[in-house]
Order: sequence, then structure tokens, then C-alpha cells
Amino acid sequence: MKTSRTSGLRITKAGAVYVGVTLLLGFAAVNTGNNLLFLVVSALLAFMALSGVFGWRNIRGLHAVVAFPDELYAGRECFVTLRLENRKRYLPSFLLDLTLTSGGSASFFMIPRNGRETEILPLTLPRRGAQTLPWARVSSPFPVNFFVRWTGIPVDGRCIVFPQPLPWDMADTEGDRRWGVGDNLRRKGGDGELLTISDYTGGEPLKLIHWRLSARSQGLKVKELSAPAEEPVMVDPLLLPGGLEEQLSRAAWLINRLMGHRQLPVGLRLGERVIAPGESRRHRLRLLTALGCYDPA
Amino acid sequence: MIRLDLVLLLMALAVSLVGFIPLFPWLGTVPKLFLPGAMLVRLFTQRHGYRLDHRFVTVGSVAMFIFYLLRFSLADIVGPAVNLLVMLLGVRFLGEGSARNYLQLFLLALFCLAASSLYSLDPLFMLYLGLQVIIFPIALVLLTCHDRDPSAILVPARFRSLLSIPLVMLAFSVPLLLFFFIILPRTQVPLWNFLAGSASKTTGFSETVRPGSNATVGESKSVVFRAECVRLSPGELYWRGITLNRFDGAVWSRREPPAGERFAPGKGRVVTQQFILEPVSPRYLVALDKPGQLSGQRGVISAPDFTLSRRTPSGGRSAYRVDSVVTPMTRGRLGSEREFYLQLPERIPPWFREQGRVLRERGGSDGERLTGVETLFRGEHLLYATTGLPVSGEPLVEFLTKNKRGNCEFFASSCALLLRLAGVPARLVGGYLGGEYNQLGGYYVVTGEQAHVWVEAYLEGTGWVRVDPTRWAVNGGDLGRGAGRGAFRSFLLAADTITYFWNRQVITYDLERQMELFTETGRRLQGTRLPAPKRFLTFMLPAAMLVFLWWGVLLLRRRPSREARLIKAFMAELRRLYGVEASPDAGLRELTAGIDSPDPARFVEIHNGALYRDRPLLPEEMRELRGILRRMKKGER
Repeated sequence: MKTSRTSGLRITKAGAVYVGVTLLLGFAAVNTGNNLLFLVVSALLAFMALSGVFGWRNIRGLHAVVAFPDELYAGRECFVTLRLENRKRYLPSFLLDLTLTSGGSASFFMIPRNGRETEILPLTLPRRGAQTLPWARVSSPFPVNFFVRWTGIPVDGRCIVFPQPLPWDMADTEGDRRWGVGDNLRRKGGDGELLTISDYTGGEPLKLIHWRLSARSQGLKVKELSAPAEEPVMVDPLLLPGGLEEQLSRAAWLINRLMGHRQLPVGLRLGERVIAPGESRRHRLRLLTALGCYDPA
Repeated sequence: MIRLDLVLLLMALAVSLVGFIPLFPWLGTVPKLFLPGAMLVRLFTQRHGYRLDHRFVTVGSVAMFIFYLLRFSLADIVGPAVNLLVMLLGVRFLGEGSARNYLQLFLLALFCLAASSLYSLDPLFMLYLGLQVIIFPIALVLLTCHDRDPSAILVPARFRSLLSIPLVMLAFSVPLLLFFFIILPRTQVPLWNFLAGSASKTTGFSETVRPGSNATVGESKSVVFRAECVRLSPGELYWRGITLNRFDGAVWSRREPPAGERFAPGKGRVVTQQFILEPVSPRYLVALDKPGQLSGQRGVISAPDFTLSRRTPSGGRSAYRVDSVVTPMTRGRLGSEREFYLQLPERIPPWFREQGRVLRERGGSDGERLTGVETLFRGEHLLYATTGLPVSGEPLVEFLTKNKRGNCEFFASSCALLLRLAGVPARLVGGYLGGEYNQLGGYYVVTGEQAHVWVEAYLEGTGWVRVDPTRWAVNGGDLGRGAGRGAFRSFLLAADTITYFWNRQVITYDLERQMELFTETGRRLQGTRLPAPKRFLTFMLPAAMLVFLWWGVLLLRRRPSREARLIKAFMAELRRLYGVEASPDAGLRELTAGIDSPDPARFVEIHNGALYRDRPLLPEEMRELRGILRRMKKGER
């Protein structure tokens, strides 16, 4: 895990001009001995020094918190809520650009002192398992666009990434109840009547996002549709075709398919660990978490 | 709602005016009209949403640049440059409202203000600089936001927050500006001084005296120098500049005094003067008659006839300190040099020749001959005047015999010539007489109209003696008394104090004073001693205890309760181990419901048990909670 939080700055074209002008006037002042020019140069230098200090303070005292959706799949883009907190007691922060190490960026015009601002940004995490976003890079040209300063800031961002669901044809597995086979599996489901509106968790297909309601509220909202209940099924990923990652991906797809579309009670056998069948959403997330965190060693 | 682009335009107008106004008197007619015109055009186009073709602006800029480039010459570099600056500033107003354009505009305005310092060293500069120091940071901060979003509109609260940053910067910038001003490196002499030429026109005493060249003597009321010293009686205020020792019949001028001449000031009190000298004479410095030790200026030669001169002529304003012995006399003896001060011109008017012969034949000591000259002058009932002066071929004769009106040059020239003809060595001294004392600043202000010439006569056995023949005029008693008092006069003097301190602290700050300051600071730092232990304990200890107590009370007041601290630590561990975030909507039980570990559940059970019974945690409960936290901190899930 990379934990480097170094800082740096980059001079802009306007900054180079400003430095050049200051040097030119300084040269003129020294050579003519004109104290009024010295005053102008002193003012320019004082302003440059202060803009450096205030620019440095502008990106200090910041803390980022990333709130992930409940369902986060490897390699699949989802929307995360990024909350940037300004923990400075006296100074607001302005014109902040924040980039997460895992990709994704957001801009904030102003965060008041002891305040926070929220942005929603798309994010894709490539690997399954428990993950932490170690730090983010925050940069800003404030207070004057002569230097762009940046630094790494801590991020609260722990999540468990589920395996990327891999759709597969279940025709040749028919009759085997260990991984959930039967005629009922090939019937379509999960697109019945609208039951309720709930928060977007990251796992729902985009077509289920209720865009109109999302626009009115803080986060994304999705439609939950009804589906008929069915018999319990046990899934054993290690019996599915392919290598380990492929098996886990197929199992993730299968669990979502069985529980999400058909609302079948599903259990999981993962090596020595057995999770009894259940049909709640919390249960489905528990199964996916077990798949995401599975380590054969 | 506040539109950033509009605020930025107003800032640009303000910053440009602050650069333009101090430069205005020295601009050509076209730039004088062009910039305000361009500002009005910009306001009009902004209001009605018109946009000028940027090609027109570019072509205009290039054309102006070429036009003024052709007018550059070694004799006048600054003139075309400032005109070009103002024209380019005007062109920027006609350009687009991009961040780049605005930045160029701000820098050009700054250059205009800087260029004005080449023409005038007036204290008003500080006002303009102060305004730019205020506007500049605000404008640049807004420009940075404008660069991010050119059409940004801010609510007033946000705008106020945004403004708070440059205003705080401003508060810090003043001491920092002074710090940089003090430490920025100075050179002993300017390396290329052609730029400073415009601001250093000299006004003051001439290095020759030519009575009869004009019927009227111009009296400049402009300040020549300011000298900080104790208050003196009017009769002591003879400010010595140059000693003139050669007369060719029409003009008194200066030659190097004879090598063997050695004189010391006579008895008198020592008065230290701190001078701020306007660009009076490129070579000669003034000081109370008779000047001694001089400091604050390098390369100054003190001649045996008490003339202070610079080795290298300088046209700038200068500051120096002189210790003078205030006395009209010198001690010493003229030997073979006596002849040098008796030299006569080839052509001497017969009237003077005759008067000289009479005085010489009358005999007596040098002092008696001097009295004879005084008697002659007083007998003629001469009038001190600056108008209606004789301008004939023999102005001195006309002055003494017909016209009877003359300024100090007539009195001094005639007197010195008569003394030489009578066999008394004599010379002229050019300088200033009188001065107005500013009580507020503790200094004398001396203006051009107070320029004066007097005579020094050598009396055997005494030395050189100051003789002011102008005082022998019928109206000579008022000489050097200065202007009358009055409310307006007092106000002018008070206002002059600002100029004096501006010149003293800013304009004349140079390498010499910088070195003095550094040396003094170093000396003080080395000599710093801690206060005596007893005093330290008496005053510092109670103060330190009070601060410590206050700090302790603050800490206790801020410190959260035992339970709150435990919950905080517990939440931190939940976040670290399980990624559970605290939420105002969820209680501890909801937050830990999905966690597959007994410890968090037990923690919540104990905590809530106490909370719902409205009692503090029992000691054994506290111990168990701490145990759970310890296990969680070790990473046990």
C-alpha cells in the first residue's frame, strides 16, 4: 500500500511572469538606488511570500471521507460520495481539486472553516477484497494563480470489493442443487412491480436508477422491484468452472441472479466455511463479502 | 448575487487609476486622453455586451510599440517608456476579459506607479502604493477564481469569505513590506543612474556669485534642506555651503585653497545636525557654520576653508550628520597664504580703487579697516532688496553710489573687494541664512529664498571672522528672521513634518544607514541580558502562573467526559477495523448490528445499559469496556 504523502508546487506561466517582473524591478531598484522602487519590490516580495504561506495553509487541515455504496464490484464503475472536511479553525479553503489515488477526482470552490462539502464521483476499483484508500492528492492555485500547490491528505475510505460478476450459461449445471440449478433458474424474474425506492448501493443496473428522484435528493435512488420467492439453493464456487477468480466471479453473478432476480434463499459453501441459506439483502451482502474476502491460503 | 467579472473590472479600473494619476503630469496629451477613453469604452462595451475584435487590439498594440520605440533616445528613455506603458494599459482595457489580459493590466498599472517614482519622490507615492497594496491582492485572488470560472456568481456570504483571505494577507503584508525594504541590498552608488535623472533637478545655491547679472533675483520657496537639531538663535543660523575665494571683477568663484592653510573653529557650542538635503548642489554640502565631523556620506572632503564637498558629484537627495561648532570665528594664522586672499581683479573700478586707497592710508589694524568699511556702507544708507538691482557695466559702483539697492551678493562682493583693496584678506561664503523651526519634528526647514552670501575677513591675531555686510543695510535688522507665525503657517509646518520623516526614513535610506542598522541590531543582540533573577521572579513568575492556570481551565473545560472519550475511541476502532462510519441517524446498536464479532456487541450492551438507566458507568463496567478497546486496538476482530 502506498502511503506517501509528499507535497509540492508547480509554477504557472502567470507566476513566472510575476517572478520576472519582481526581479526586473528589483534590479532597477538596486541599480538606481531609488527607494520608491525598493518599496514596490518589497510589496511584490511580501505579497509573493504571503501568497505562498496562505496557499500552503489553504491545502492543509483537510480530511477526505469516501462513503462507498454497499455493493462494490471489482472492475465495475460505481458512484461514491466524497466528503471533504476543512478542519482549520480560522481559514476557509478555496479552489480545491481532489484526486483519489485509485482514480476519480472532484473540485470544490470553497469549504468554510470547520465545514464540509460533498461531491459524488465515479470510481472503479480493479481488485476484489478489503481495501483502503490510503490518501488523496489535493491541489489548488489559491490564493493567486502563480503557483499550484499540492499535497497528500488522509482519506477515510475502507471498503470490501466484491468479485466482478461474470455471467455464465447455467444449462449444463441443471439438476445440481449445490450451486442452484433447476428449471426455475432459467425463468425470468426480478422485474416485477415497484416495491419501494431505496438508496443506490452500487450493484443495481443503471436502468433501475430513478434519475428524477436522484436529481431532487442528495444521493442516487433506485427502484426495487418485486419477484416471487423460490426454494433454497446452496452455492459452492469451488465447483464452478474456471480458475479461482473466475469461480468467485461466477458465484457472485449467481448469487445476485438467484437472490436479486428470483429472490431465492441462497447459502454458500466456501471451503470449510458454510453460510446457511437466507434471502434478505443483508444476507446477500454477507455472501458477497465472504466471496470478496475469500483467501484460500 | 455578485458577478465576479464585474467586480474584477472595477478592481482593474481602480488599480489603473492609482497607477495613472501619479504619472499624469508627465504624460503626453495622447496617453492622457487615451487611457480614460479606453476605460469608458470598456465600461460601455461591458454594459451592452459588445466585444471588440482582438485583432484590432493586437494591431493597435504593435503600432503603438513601434511609434514609441522610434522616439527612444539615450537622452530621453523614461519619457517614451511611460507614455508607452499608459497606452498599453489603455489597450488592455479594449481587450477581452480573459485572466491573461487582466493580469497584464494589473502588472502594467504597477509599472506605471513604479515609473512615477522616476519623476517624483513625493510622500503621496506612499498613498498610491498603499492603495495598490490593498487592491492588488484582492484583484489577484478574484482573478484566480475568475480563471477557474469566468462566469462565476457568488452569494454575498461566499464573497465575504473570499475577501477575508486577501484582507488577512494585507494585515501581514505591511510588516513584511517594511522588513523587505530594510534588508534588500543597496549599492554604494547607483550603477546606472540615467533613470534617476528626471527626479533630480537641482535648486539651490550657485557655485559662483555674479552681482549685476539680473535686475531681479528669483526667490524659490521650495525646500532646500531640512536639518534636525536643537533650536538656535536667529543670529546663529548661518548655513555654510561654499567658500568663494577668487574675484575676476565680475564673478566670484572657487579655487582650491592654499595647501598650508590650517584653521580650527573658534570657541562655541557643538551642535549636531541631521541633514536631509534636497538635490541642491551636485558637489557641495551645507552645515552650520563652522562644520566639523561629518558622517553618513562616503567620499566627502572637508577643505581647510570649511567647505564640504563630495568627491563624486551626485544629483540625488542625501542624508548626513554633521557636528558643527557654532561660532563666527576661527583660530589659526595665515602665513604665505595671505597673498592668495588679497588677489585683485585686473580691472577695478576707479571708485573702489580710491576707497581702498583711503582705507589703506588711514592705516590701523585689520579690525579698524573692517570698521572703516562698515562705516562706509552705513554712511551710504543702502537698502537690501531683490528687485530693481543695478545691471550696468559697473554694478557694484552703481550699487554703492547711485542705486543704493542690492541683494546680499552686492553687499558681500563690494565689502570683500573693499577689504582686499584695504589690505585685509577676505573671501565670500555662500550658503543660507535663517530657517523655520518645526517644533513637531524638531528640525529647521530652509527654502531657496534663504540663500545668502556673506564675507569672511581675516583679522591678524584673531583669525577668520564672519562679517555679514547685508546687516549694514538700513533694513538689514530683519535679515534671517523668517516668516511670521499663523494658523496656516503652523498647518504647513505640520504637513511638512510628514515630508521630512518620509525623506528621512524612506527616500534617503541607503547602504550607509543599512549597515548602521545591521551593526546596531547585532550590537544590541549581543548585549542583551536577561533581567536580574529577583525582578524576573517578581514579575514573570506570577504572570506565568496566571497564564498556566488559564490554560489549564481552558483545557479542563474543553476536555470531553470519560464516557465521551470511550465512545470516541470505540468509534475510531469500528472505523479502522470494520469500515463503519459514525452517523447522526444511527445509534451504536445499529452501527454494530452487521459486525460478526462479540466484542463490539458487548461494548454496546454495557454502554447502553448505563445510558438507558441514566447512570454513569460503574468502575467494573469501565474496566471491561477498556479491556474490549484494548483488544480491538490490537486488531482482534
